[in-house]
Amino acid sequence: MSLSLEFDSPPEISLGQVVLQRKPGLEPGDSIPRIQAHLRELVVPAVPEYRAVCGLPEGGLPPLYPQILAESLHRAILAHPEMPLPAAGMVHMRQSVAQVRPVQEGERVSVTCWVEGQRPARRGVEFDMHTALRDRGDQVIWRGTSTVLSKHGPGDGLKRRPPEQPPMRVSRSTTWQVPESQGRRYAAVSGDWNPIHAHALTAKLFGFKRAIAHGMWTLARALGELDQDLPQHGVGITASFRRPVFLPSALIFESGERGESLGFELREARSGKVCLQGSVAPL
Amino acid sequence: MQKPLSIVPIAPPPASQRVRRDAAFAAEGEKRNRYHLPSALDSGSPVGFRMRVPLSAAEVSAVLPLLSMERPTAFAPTQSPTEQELFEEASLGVLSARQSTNFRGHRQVTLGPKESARVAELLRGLDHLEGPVLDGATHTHLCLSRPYRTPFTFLLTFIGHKPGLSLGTVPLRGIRKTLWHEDDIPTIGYLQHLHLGIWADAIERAAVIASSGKRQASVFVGPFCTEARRDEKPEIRAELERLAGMTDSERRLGWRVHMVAQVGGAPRPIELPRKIWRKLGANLLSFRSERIQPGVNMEEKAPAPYHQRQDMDVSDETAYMAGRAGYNAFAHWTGVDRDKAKELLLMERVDVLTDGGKERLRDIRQELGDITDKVVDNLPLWADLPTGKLLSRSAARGRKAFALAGQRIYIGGLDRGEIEAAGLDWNQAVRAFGAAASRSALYCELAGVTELPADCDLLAGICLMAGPVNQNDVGKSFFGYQDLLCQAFPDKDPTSLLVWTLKAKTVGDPIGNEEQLLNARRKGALVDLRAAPHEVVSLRVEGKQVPMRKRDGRLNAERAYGDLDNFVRDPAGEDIPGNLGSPWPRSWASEHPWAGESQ
Repeated sequence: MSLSLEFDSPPEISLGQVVLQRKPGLEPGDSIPRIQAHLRELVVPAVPEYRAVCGLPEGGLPPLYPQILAESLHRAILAHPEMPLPAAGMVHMRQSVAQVRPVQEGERVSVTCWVEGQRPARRGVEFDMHTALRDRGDQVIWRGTSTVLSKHGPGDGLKRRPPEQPPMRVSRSTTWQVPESQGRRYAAVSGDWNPIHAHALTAKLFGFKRAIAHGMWTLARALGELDQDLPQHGVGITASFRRPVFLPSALIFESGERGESLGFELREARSGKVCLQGSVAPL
Repeated sequence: MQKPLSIVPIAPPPASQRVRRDAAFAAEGEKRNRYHLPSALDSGSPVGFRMRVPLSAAEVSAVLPLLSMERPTAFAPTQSPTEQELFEEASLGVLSARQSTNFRGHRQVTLGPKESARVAELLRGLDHLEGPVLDGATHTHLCLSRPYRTPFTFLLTFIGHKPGLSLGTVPLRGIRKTLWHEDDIPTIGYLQHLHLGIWADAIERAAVIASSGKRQASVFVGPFCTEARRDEKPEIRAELERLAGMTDSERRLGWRVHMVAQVGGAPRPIELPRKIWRKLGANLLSFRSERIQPGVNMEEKAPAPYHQRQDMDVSDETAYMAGRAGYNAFAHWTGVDRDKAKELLLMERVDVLTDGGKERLRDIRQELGDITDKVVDNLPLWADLPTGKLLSRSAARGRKAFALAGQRIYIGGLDRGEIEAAGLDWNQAVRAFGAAASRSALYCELAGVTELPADCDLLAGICLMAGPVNQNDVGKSFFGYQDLLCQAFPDKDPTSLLVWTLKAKTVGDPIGNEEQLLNARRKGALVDLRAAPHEVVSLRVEGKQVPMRKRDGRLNAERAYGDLDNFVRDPAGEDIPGNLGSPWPRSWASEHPWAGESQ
């Protein structure tokens, strides 16, 4: 089964509409159908507030911003009646981005997002939310894949270790003091007002001891820290969100050569536990 | 006229005696102490934990003219500075220009070329200028300062009171300190000016080094010294304070414009390979106060390298050149000739290598110890007991600050009568004294990295100490003691100001000493933390003050001259997390803050 949604303008679907929907979850043998959402045209906006919140210097569109541009399509897919998994409780596990060329503010693009199928995880299933931006010549200029964990599916009980990483030759090492308000600040520019990010009290309702930072903020801030170390044209980014960043937090950011790519890591300053790990390489 | 300097390298000891700090991280379960590497660094300071960078004798000779620079006679046209250049200039100036103590009583407001022209006009209206005001400055630093106040000066409030009257006299003195900025003892007031002199001397070098020899600073201290001078031409000073964005509440706290530095194109640019400028900058950020003489004043629990005496010496020639650097600076900042400078600067050598030095040192220690005992005995119990004897314990702990160890120890000071007889402003002379002390120290520190072998942290270090003279001043002010220099200069009325302790050694002081300046949780009781740029430096752009390197939620994480990679690591090469820093975004660093303004 393949379902296609077409939009001339970003659909207006609130987070509440997505999160409060009751869904059956996946039973053994079930599969997520292909659900595709397409936005025919979008003018890439200037994003000074997003830059300020993520500490990004001026330049082309920040490499993770297309993910925010596609947010309304993601919601359309998650809210679709044929999407069997409930959005509540989904966890963003990994993110990969391929920016074929810098996207310019003011540029006209089309956006396509889709999901299809899933993989078993230890406790639940993982699925990929794909996003692609095309320019007016229909060339893909940006691709992104968010890997999401849902506990509403049959897991296989297998513990998976993250792949062994070659050692990193650290060339940047700095401490971030992330304030308690960071979740709200990012929500204001991204539109993601998920209660787990907004405040400790609302996060507690969902089982978190404190509010947690948006994964995409930690990744955007990390890319901002890399600055000129990022490849200037085509760039591939992969990142895995290993632990939540509780707010407020003191974190150690480190980056450096790791094999053929530029690796980076974000660790809790106190415990040394890795929260975010990723790498960047030219395409 | 200043005299040129030449480098006299310090001979390293035999290879068998060479030791390094080689500090490591505490092992799991091991209690960390000041000899272990810090577990992380969270600081926006451009300094960080750094190692000295070896320089060849030729490289040091090439940079030594910076220790005998004259004022620029004109500014040549040159490019407006980039944000990066301004950051590096501030890093070598207000953000690091300290020796033993670190005091946050200084701030800098930097103006662009248009307002620099306005400042030049204002300066021309003031008296006591050290030289002509030049046209064409690319930028100007308005240097603000407030009286020296730290936890140590808080403690001083309780010292020297009569037992029956202290309930009234302590609060009275506290009020006088707060409202009228009176000092408990005179030498505390002089500390502000010593620091200003150190800063002035650093600004001159910083402008040259940060621009790789293309710019030079014209620093004006004279019109801003004593209160009497600062009361002259109030309308001009008010305009300078307005440009500095000073508020009434800051004025009430004692903040004033104490120095103005105009920077412009050097009339004769100094051409040196870029690598030398970078190495010099990285070294200036690595130089530390060195208090430990191995085998002499180390702690019992110190690791083995600190217990080993080394066959090394600060030679007469090295000390002679360091003295020359100091006299150069004093002559430069007061305008007197060098012979007069030698006459005015009072120096007594008190180390064990001089005749009777051992006895003299013992007497000084005894005297300072006696003063400490008297201070502790006389502290008002009504303040000491409720605080769990915090005051008396702090006073007793101060003894550590009086450890006089080193191959060469000098007490330096000035005779106020002689200074005034020479037509000099007293505070200006104290500032010049600070500049002389720091410049002579810098000479020794450069000698200490000349041809530095790989198995040594340094070959010579220095500690400029105010602690002994402050304690002596407590004795003078409250218990009838004489000045430390009275014995050496019986026919004068000396005021001792600083003590130099020069040490030839190969092992750097415990890293815990540096951590006191960088880690809020381990901050030393008597010092302030090293500042991040946004805390003490602001740029005035289009009429608004913008904190340096605070932008879009980001604060500086760059270690200046970090490209030299002279970071402290453990013996296995592992970094201290957070210590390497992260360069400021290049697009921001390469901006010209005043690009649209013409000179």
